[in-house]
This record gives sequence, structure tokens and C-alpha cells, in this order.
Amino acid sequence: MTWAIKEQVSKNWSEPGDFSGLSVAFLVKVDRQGNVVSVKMTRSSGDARLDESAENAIFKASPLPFPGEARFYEYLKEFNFVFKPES
Amino acid sequence: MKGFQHAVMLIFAAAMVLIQPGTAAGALTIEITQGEKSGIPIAAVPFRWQGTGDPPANLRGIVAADLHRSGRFELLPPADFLSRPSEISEVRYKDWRLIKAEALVVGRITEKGPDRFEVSFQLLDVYRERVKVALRYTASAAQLRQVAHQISDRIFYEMTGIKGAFDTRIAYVTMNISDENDRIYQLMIADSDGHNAQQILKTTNLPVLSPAWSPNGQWLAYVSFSDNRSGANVWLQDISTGSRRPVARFDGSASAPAWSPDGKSLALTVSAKGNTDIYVLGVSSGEIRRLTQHPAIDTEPAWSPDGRYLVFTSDRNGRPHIYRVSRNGGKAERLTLEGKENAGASYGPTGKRLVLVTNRGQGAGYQIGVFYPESGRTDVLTDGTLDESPTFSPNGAMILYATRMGSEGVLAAVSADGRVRQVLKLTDGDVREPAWAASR
Repeated sequence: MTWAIKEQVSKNWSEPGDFSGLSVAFLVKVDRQGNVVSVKMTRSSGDARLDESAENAIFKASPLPFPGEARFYEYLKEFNFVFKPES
Repeated sequence: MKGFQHAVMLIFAAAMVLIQPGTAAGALTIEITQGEKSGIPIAAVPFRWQGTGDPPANLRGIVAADLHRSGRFELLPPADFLSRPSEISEVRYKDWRLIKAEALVVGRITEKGPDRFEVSFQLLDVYRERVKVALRYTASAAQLRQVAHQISDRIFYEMTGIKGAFDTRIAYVTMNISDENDRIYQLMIADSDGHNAQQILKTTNLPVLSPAWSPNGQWLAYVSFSDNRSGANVWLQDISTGSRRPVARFDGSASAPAWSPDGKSLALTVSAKGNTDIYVLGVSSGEIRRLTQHPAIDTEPAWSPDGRYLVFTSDRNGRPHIYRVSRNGGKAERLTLEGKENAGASYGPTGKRLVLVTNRGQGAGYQIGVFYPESGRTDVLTDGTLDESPTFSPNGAMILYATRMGSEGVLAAVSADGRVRQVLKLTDGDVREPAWAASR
């Protein structure tokens, strides 16, 4: 389940260069259909290009592949995404 | 139900382990370590022409070709565009999010008078809905290609953090057979995309080789012959005036010039008394100093960006490989250990990578490789059998090299990661020996 989400975001992330060693974190809220409704950066990498490209990836990946069952939503309506590029 | 709760507990357990500073406690954490290497998706809208007759240049076409060739961008096809804005007030960002463009380029060319045009362009951030760059230029029709390359440079810098190198020049040599069966050699300079080619030297039956730009872009050093009897010598030519002179008189022949980063010295290969070694010449003093002394062939010198070392090709251990020596001379250290042969190395701007010609053996022929002295690794970037003369762009993001297409030599550009390769369209004839200038 998280694997599918991870895949979809990775696929939409165009790394703008080699930023290995840096990382950026976001808190993401989604609606019941998996649409991304808000993205809040909780920790900057210190490089705006990495921060923005990662944020773009989350928006571009929306709607996220999400389990249909309602009871999952309570547990999965908020995620932390950490982008930690490896070279 | 029990199973589900168990699964959720497991997810939470995993999440707790992954909790990191700056992340919300309690929420699941997903870590992304790998993105796509296909380039940043960017939409470049054809520039709107506001004038009479046909537009004087296809600025969008030039910018799109530059960005594509760099390997860092994925140019979205204009057929997918839902609108054609030419400035920010006309932009509906939603149109561009629908096609997943991360950046948008819009612009106009306005006729301001006889042979006078104003170019405006904006680079827009589609997801944050804001202007990243907005610039205006005034130019004649003949200057518009250069304006387009300057726009490409700004976009490249803004999006990658690396200084662009599209508004730069290259030099190369062409050879054509005349109707009288003479070999006509021409030393040419052109824009980095091969356009605006201009001849700076023409010789008949006397080859021209190894052009090398001075760091300030004012001089070209190259190898030429005064007549059929004397050996090769290195010449210096002022690009703006065309005046030229041999750098020095040698007892034997001189070749393979390479400028030191401060522009004060030239490293050369000198063949004298049956031995071929590396020498360093003071450009204004004319003072010459021998750097290597070995019965094998030492050739193709190139300086490190800090000017402290030179690399060169030597066959002192049998096959040609790359060696490094201090600018003060002394013992040379072998750098390339892998591959059957390595030759023609030169440094990228950071000094951490070298581009070279590599032969991996087993009949593979010669390809362009990027070599990392620290790890000893070589990435092979091309798949020809006779690829040669690689030269880094001044920002290290691209490599220009000579390759074969049928029986003809052509120039090709490859992104430093090897992902995008493109043959440059140049004048007819056999094209070889490219050199990329460090500045315009």
C-alpha cells in the first residue's frame, strides 16, 4: 500500500541534479479519494531547488493510489514524505 | 477485522521507527530516495510575434533545442498545450498542471523599428504560481540567436543551479576535397549549437589540428604546418583581428597545445631527437621547460582547473593510458588502470572528473568516457567505434566530441550523464577536433 504511493511519487519526481546527502520533509493531507489537499514543508533541505522539485512531485502524483475502504482513511489521511536522494 | 488492526499496528510500528526530526509524530512516513532521471518537465510556448511579415527568428525552437540537448529537461510537446500565452497575464496555471509541466516559458518578439526587436520572456513556476525570471532584451535580427542562448542560460541556471553554457562558442576543423583534388582545411568557430559558423583560417594540403581556446576566449592555439617539408608547429591566432604567429621555434615538431587556467602558459607535445615529451611554454616570455622525460611517447597534455597538475597520455607501460604529473615536473602517476587504452583526457570544471577516449577491449573500438580519478570508475557515454576529441562544456554539463556518420566525420554533443546524444548540424565535409571555449 505505501509501496504504491512511494512508486507514484518517485515516478513524478524529476530530480533537478545531484542532491545526495540532503533531505526535505513534508506533511501531506489527502481527501478520501487520495487527492492531495495540502502540502506543508516541515523541514527544508536548505536548497530551494530540491525542496520545490519534491513538492512538485507530490502534487503531480495526486490522486495517490489509496485503498478504497473508508476505515483506512483515518490512519492514512496524513503522511510524512521524506525525500532523501541517493546518488 | 483483527487482521486489519494488526496490519495497522504494524504500519504504526514501522512509522515510529522511521520518525525523523521535522516530521509529524504519529503519521506514517514514506521515504523517497530515487526520482526520475528523465529531466525536468518544462513547457516552452512559441514566442508571440508582434510585427509585420514573418518572425525574424524561432526563439522557442532555439531555446527548446538547447534545453533538450543538455539532458536536464524534458520538453513537453506543443501539441499538448491547452493555451498559448505570451506573458504572465495570459497564463492559466491549471492548464500547465494538467500536462504536469513544472516550469513554463512564455515570451514575445516585438518589432520596434528597422532591424530592431524587443524580446521579453518569463520563466514561471507552475505549482507555486509565481515568476522565477522575467527579462527583456533589445536586439537586431542577427543578434536574436544569441538572445535565445542567453535565455536558455538563465533558465538552465534557475532550474539546475548550474551556470548555463549555451551562449558560448566552439572551434573545430573541417576538411573538404576540392575539384582540383586538393585537401582544403578550414578552422571554424561557431555558436555552441553549431550555428553562425565562421571560418578563421583556410589552408590547402597543410592539415590544421588541435584547436585550443585561451581561457579568455580571445586566442586560439592550433597545430599547423608552414610548408610540406617542415614539421608541425603550434600557432596562436587572435580571434578578433585574425593575426597569427608561431608560438616558438622548435628543433623538432610541436603539437597538442593546452592553455593553463591562468592563460599564461601552454603545455605542448614536442618531438625532438626521436623522443616525444610534454613541455610548458610561457606564452609571452617564450621560455620553454621540459616537464616529462621518458623514452615512451608522452602527449595530449591538459591542465587541472587549479593549474597544479597536468594529465597526459603515455604508452610507457605498453598501451596508452592517462598519467598525471605536477606542473613542476617530477614523477608521473598512472591514473587509468581499467580498459585496454585510454587517451585524450581533459578535466571538467570541478577537477573531479575527466573526459577521455576509452577502448574497453574485445574489439569494442573507441568511445567517450567520463573518468573519476578518486574511485577509478569510468562511465562510457557513447556507443560509436571511433569517437574522439572530447571537450567539456565550460559548466561541465555537456561534452562535445567527434564521431563518424558513414564515411564523414561529424560533431556530436552528449549530456554528461550520457542520457541525451545529438549530432550537431554543421557545414558539409569532414568535421573533427572540436574545442569548447570557456567564455564568449
